[in-house]
Amino acid sequence: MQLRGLIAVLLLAPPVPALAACNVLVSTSGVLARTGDATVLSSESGVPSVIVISGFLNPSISISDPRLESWPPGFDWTSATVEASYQAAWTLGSSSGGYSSGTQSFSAGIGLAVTVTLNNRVTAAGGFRQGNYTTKTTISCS
Amino acid sequence: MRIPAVIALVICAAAGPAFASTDVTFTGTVSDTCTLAVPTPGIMALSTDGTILGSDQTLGVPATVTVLSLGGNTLTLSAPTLTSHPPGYAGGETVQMKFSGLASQPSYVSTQQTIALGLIPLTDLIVNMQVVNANGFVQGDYTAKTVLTCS
Amino acid sequence: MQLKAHMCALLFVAAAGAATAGAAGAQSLSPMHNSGVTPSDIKGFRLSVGNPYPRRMTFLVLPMEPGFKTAAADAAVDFPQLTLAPNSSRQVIVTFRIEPPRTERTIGVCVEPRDLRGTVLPRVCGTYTGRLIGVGG
Repeated sequence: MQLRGLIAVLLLAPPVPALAACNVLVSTSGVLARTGDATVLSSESGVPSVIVISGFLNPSISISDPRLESWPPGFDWTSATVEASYQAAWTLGSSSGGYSSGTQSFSAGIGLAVTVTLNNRVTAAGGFRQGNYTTKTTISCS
Repeated sequence: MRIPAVIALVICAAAGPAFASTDVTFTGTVSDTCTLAVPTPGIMALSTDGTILGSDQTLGVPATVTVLSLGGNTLTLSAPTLTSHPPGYAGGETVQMKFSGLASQPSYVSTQQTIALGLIPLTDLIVNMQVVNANGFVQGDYTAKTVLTCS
Repeated sequence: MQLKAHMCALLFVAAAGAATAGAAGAQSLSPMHNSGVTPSDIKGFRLSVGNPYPRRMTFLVLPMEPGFKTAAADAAVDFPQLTLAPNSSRQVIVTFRIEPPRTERTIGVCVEPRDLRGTVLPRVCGTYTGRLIGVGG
């Protein structure tokens, strides 16, 4: 009786997120730089971004929507392609994905944290005008 | 023993899905660059009738300019001029240039020329120069020049 | 005829001599454009002058008016003459005065080889704009 009552209370109680929390921390922001090819800006020539994901059990991680956020006047942004690639590692496992402008997902095993090294690349056949460029990529875990 | 397990399962089942998402930012700064090299400076030689000193005469050599442009730069060739001549030379010449390769100006001109550059890998511009004077040239050294500016 | 032939030979020798005495020239300048604010009436920019070719070269770094035809007044470069080893670069600082009532000024800087003979004088030029703080965007 008491047990049934307890179960009822638990089922009606609000969700308890403690064990299933998912934290995404950007440890290093990325830096884009010219490559040997003047039509490509890439963080592989600059600095890749490092993200640490923690506080979970078997999370599903997705990397999506690489996009150009800002560019200097006169740059033909409609002809630019933005792509992301990643390398992820956790205890007893790893995953990697090549450059893609779409969504890439992977499941990480049980572990304290997943370290993701993320690269962005912008390709523009007409080259790049002088000025500042910013790209963004969304990383999610669930 | 089973009851705590059941309770644990119930707790886990009752817990909502966890979700976290963040945008990762990459920044970069691009600078325009233009690199010019002149591996062959150009040599003018006299025509057989003595009225044209030019790089496309027999034994003359055109100048070669190697251009590398990263960005929306412009190449300007100034109107060519005779910058030095020997004493006793009376003047009255016309200095002209033509070029090919990266851009084309197939006939000789005396005026400033402008070439719009975009993204140019290492590319050659071949420049021919001539000094024309119906009265001919006295003995000595002559230098004709155009100033090629990448900006 | 003999005189003309003699002239031909002499002119050719002179031209050839001038050509061979001159060394091939190359240079680069980066960035080619920049702008910024200054709290005083002096604005400075740091530029990189490069010698990307396998030959030791001496370059002139010249502050110019924006059309690159005349020298700029009230402007200076810390190293107006630079000798660079092959495939090396060096930073220079260019400074210029913004005389009131002007609140903004643009100058040009050109890099050209000091000792280059031949029919083409190559130079790379950039434009740099200084603005007094609190004025404009």
